[in-house]
Amino acid sequence: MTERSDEEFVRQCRSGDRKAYDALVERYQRTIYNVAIRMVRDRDDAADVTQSVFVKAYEGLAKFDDRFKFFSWLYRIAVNESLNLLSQRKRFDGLEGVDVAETIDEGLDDETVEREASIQGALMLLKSDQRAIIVLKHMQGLSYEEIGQIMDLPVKRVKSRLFSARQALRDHLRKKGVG
Amino acid sequence: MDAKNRDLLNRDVDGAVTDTDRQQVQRLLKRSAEARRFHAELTRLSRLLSGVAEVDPPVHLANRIRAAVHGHDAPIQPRTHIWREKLTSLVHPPTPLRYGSVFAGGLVAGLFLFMTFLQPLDRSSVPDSAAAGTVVGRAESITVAAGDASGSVRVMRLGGSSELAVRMTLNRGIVTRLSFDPSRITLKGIRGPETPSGSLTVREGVVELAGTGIQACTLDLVPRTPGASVAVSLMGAEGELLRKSIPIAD
Repeated sequence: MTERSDEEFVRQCRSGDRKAYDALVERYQRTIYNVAIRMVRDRDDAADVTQSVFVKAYEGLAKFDDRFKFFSWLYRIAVNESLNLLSQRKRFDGLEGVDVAETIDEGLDDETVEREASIQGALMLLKSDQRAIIVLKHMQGLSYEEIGQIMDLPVKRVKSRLFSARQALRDHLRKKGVG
Repeated sequence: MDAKNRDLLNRDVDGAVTDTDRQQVQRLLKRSAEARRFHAELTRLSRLLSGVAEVDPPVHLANRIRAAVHGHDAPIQPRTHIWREKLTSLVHPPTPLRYGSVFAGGLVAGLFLFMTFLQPLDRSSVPDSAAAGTVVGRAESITVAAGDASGSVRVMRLGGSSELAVRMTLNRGIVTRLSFDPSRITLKGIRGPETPSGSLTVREGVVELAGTGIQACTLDLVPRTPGASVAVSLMGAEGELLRKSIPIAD
């Protein structure tokens, strides 16, 4: 059986089929959670962000512009929600929660766990918008154009930000003895 | 190495080059040690990042999202309807009755429950501004660590809502008990626990949640009197370890 497209589910949602949205939740909750967790590090906050993304997307479905891809729109909300959370978090000190490092698969060897924790630590040292661009490019495998659409940036700016974010990340990783 | 060549090498690592660019990259790598070093570093970084493992979301997350979304049942209007309404409103300005119904709809949409959320043990004083979007009220949290027993409870209420979202992290030594005065609060409904290992006991004015790991349930508590509150206790083998009173009505 052919898998139904996002557009089809969105159309069904708009015509009142709420189950269709469940299918979109099922399809993208893992992806959005992984964007969020790389952005905010804390797994509880990432779950909050993920929930918020889907609620906001649902509420805004009527206004969703069909010219864009549904998943790009979800990514955009996810990045914005993560940035909002991070700016709120700045107001409170010492709020480190359940670190993503603690969520790393137990099946991984110690070296891998340590490396991934260092990568996450280095990511958190980047500016939020730099982190977003790294996550979208390297962990979600999106193109410059898709990232531009999500972050509302021209492709040229995406590239320059990505390149400088990578440079900063390399420096942080080097200090941590990784890479 | 100039900016143009850096750009070229960056694009090459991202797989965003044309055949002509690729030939240029090859020539550049052949003649410049600095370019080779830079390219190798970028490639290593790219591999490092793309090799980072995905994290499994919490098992209950999809259900939690669905509950929050469908709790939010603001009807989805097709775009054509929105435009039709706008056009209609130009011809027939909205009456106070229309404004009233929009306001009432907003209130209904605000009456939701949302989700429960696990609070790490060291975050008991964290305001809930960082939690999911529509949570208006603060999260009230209590945590305890006694011997090898530990637990954490986070209770969120929505502004104007009668529902409490309760999320708990428990180990075997801890039971979470929510107690309230049935003459002041009616327990209208309960959902959860969301994980199969959890158990829920409901008695007159008492709801107890036990289990291991993350447990979550949602209580629809309707206050009958102003200032009604629910007491949340963490119960260990030796009795009540911590207690906090959480108002559910303003």
